[in-house]
Amino acid sequence: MARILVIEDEPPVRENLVRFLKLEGHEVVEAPDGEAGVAQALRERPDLILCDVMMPRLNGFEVLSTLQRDPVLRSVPFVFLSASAEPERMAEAVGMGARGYVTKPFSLAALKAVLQQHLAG
Amino acid sequence: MAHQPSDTPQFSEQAYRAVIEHVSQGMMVVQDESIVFCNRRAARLVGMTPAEMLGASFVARVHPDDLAMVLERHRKGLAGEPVPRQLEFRIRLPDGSVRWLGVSVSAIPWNGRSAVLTFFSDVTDHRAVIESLRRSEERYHAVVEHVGEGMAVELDGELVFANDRASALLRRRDTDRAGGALLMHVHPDDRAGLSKLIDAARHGERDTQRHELRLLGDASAETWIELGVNRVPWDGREAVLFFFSDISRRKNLEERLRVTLEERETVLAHAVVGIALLNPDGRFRWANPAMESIFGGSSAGVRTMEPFYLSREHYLQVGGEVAQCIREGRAYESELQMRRFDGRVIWAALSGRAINPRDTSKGTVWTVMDITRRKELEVALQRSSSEREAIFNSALVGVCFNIHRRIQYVNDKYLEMTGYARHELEGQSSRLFYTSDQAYEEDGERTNAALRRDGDYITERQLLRRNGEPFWARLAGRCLNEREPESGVIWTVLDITERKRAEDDIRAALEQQKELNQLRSRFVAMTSHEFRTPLATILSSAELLRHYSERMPEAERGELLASIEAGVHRMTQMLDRILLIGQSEAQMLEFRPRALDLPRLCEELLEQTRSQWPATGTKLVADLGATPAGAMYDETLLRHILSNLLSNAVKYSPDGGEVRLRLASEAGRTVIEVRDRGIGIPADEIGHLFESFHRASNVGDIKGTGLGLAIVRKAVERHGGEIRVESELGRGTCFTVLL
Repeated sequence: MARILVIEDEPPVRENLVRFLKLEGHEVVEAPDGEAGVAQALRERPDLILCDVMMPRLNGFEVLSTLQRDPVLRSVPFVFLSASAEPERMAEAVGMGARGYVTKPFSLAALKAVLQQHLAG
Repeated sequence: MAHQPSDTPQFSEQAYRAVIEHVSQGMMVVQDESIVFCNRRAARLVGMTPAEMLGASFVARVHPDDLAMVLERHRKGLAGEPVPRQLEFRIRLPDGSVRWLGVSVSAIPWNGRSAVLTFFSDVTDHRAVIESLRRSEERYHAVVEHVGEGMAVELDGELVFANDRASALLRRRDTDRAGGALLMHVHPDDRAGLSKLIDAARHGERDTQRHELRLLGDASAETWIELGVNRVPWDGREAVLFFFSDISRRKNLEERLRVTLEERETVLAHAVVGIALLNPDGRFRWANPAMESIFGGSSAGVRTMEPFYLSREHYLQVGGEVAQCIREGRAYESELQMRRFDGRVIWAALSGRAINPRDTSKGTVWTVMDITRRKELEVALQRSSSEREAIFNSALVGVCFNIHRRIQYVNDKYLEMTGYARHELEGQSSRLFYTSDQAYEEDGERTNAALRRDGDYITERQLLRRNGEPFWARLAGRCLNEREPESGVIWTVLDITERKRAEDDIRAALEQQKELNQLRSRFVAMTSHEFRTPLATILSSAELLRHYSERMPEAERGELLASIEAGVHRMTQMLDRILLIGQSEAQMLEFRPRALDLPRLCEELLEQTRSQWPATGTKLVADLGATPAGAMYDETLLRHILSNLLSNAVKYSPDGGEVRLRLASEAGRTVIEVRDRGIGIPADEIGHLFESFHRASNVGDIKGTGLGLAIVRKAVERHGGEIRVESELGRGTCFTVLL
């Protein structure tokens, strides 16, 4: 059981993520853009953050770097969900402190494995 | 019988008279200066009758030149002083002629007084003989003494006579004229020969030969004489006469000539130049060895130079030219091809001239030199220089040689490039290729500095052709002497106008290519994103349905299925747009115009946009007027135009504001105007705005494919309309479509 923040501007994708996480028994907090995502993170203190990259009002990287400045949130696992499959962007993400990078379209099984990995501790 | 003087026989007067009258001499007695007695002979000798003689003055008959002498003699005789009994003097005859008389005189008593008895005879002829003898003697001496030849007489081994010339040659003084043998004056080597000659002469052998021998003299100068020997009587004995002359000078000349000839012979024999003397008929008189070596064989049997010519015609032709030269008193000189004995053709320098220009019968002298090697070099040089010239001129690069920026040489290509004729350039300053004095001077300084520093200089610059048209040239200059521009600079010039143009084209194409590449990678990124998002929805929905459907209410399953359908629909739309662009770029855009209720369509699409962007803060406002009557539109294309312009207006107005759609009719055209208060478009990017996949640099994270406006333009163009855009960065944009 964990509290997971989903930051995703595409409603159908966000809805499916929320649906899946809830079915898996997690508590889910959601945000439709970067700004809202940062606000939710600060307020809800999630155990893990799933964040889209390309979004209006702060993209995924800006959200990450903002959260990195918070002493508590910086240690919360941050996993990107991206429609871009470019490897250099993944390397960039990891360099900035992201724990993982899931490329759209993603299988729920793969996503479940990532969650298990980062929520184990 | 003894006769006593006193016993003078007594002769008669008549006898005396007979004796006196027949004596061969004239006889007369002169007393008191008058003739008192004479015989007839005397009268005839004097040219008078005996009667005229008696009482006449004898003295009056004496030649004036001899008178003084006669009178003196007469006085002495009368005075009893001793006088010679004989004397000769001249008298004048009455006819005026002068005769010599030989006279002997004695004193006698005549009629008791002293008188002079004179016997005389005419000695005129005798004197003439004596005189001629004397003259002959004189002449003989003059000849002997003054003759050019030395003459000497040797008697019993002693020289008893030598004339002046002989003395001088024998180096003797006058006092030594006699004494010593000639042999002692002769060079020891020649003495044996001389002894033989003398012996032969003594034995009476006549020898008309002259013999050359040397006299003793200074070691420095031998005296050569030419000697003849004869036997002559001398004082009744046998003597030897030598006559000789000094031939030292001739001998010296001969010696010098011999040496000179030997030297010349040596020179001619060893000369590398072939030399030949030809007779007037062209036949060889003489040729030196070089002649043979030049023609490579023995000249024996060769009579003329004909075999050395290439053909008989050749021989005759040259012969004609030679004859012409000789007639004009010139030397013939030519370089021509000749043939050796072995048939090989050589180049020869041939010159010929008359031995004596005034006397052509002396023949001609010829020199021949083998100049094949030189000629071959010349030909090679000529060929290579003409080859080089040809190479220079057929070179596709202009070549120009300048000294102090003055054109010395240019090749054909250079002329072609610049449009000048050769004579217009050579000698001219290169200033004429420049637009201004300043450009010319600056270029000169830059070039000079580079040449001095590096020895060569490569640059690209614009020059002027003759017609004033500028062209781009690539110039490469190199000093003739290392780093010395003063020594002249060789320039190669390439007309790179075309290349420059091509470069510009390529640069533009590359730029375009780069842009295209950027656009394509952007397109790939965008479309990838645009596809992956609905795919993510579809996949996740499908998986949720597969794994969790039994735990889901019916309504939720319906939502998931609907999201799958929406995702597929969205992807299909995207594909349609990409296909549309592909079609339009392939000029395959479908266009089916028909009458259309445009305001209604506008309303519909405004509503669609609102539903597409439900969360937007923008307000979509319609200002829909009438459209031109009878206007026809393709509905599909018009939907593309309106939906793209409207959704862009909303999408790029993240801070909200009003989006106004105006529809109007102006000057018979349909005006569709979409105005927003959005982020605007950078001014320098407006030109690229309608290109496929192009997105302005200020879009940030606003999603898009870069296809919308490209589709709009294609659709507008398909209607034969136009689209304009006005924009101010951060203030908003207005698109106006005129159909």
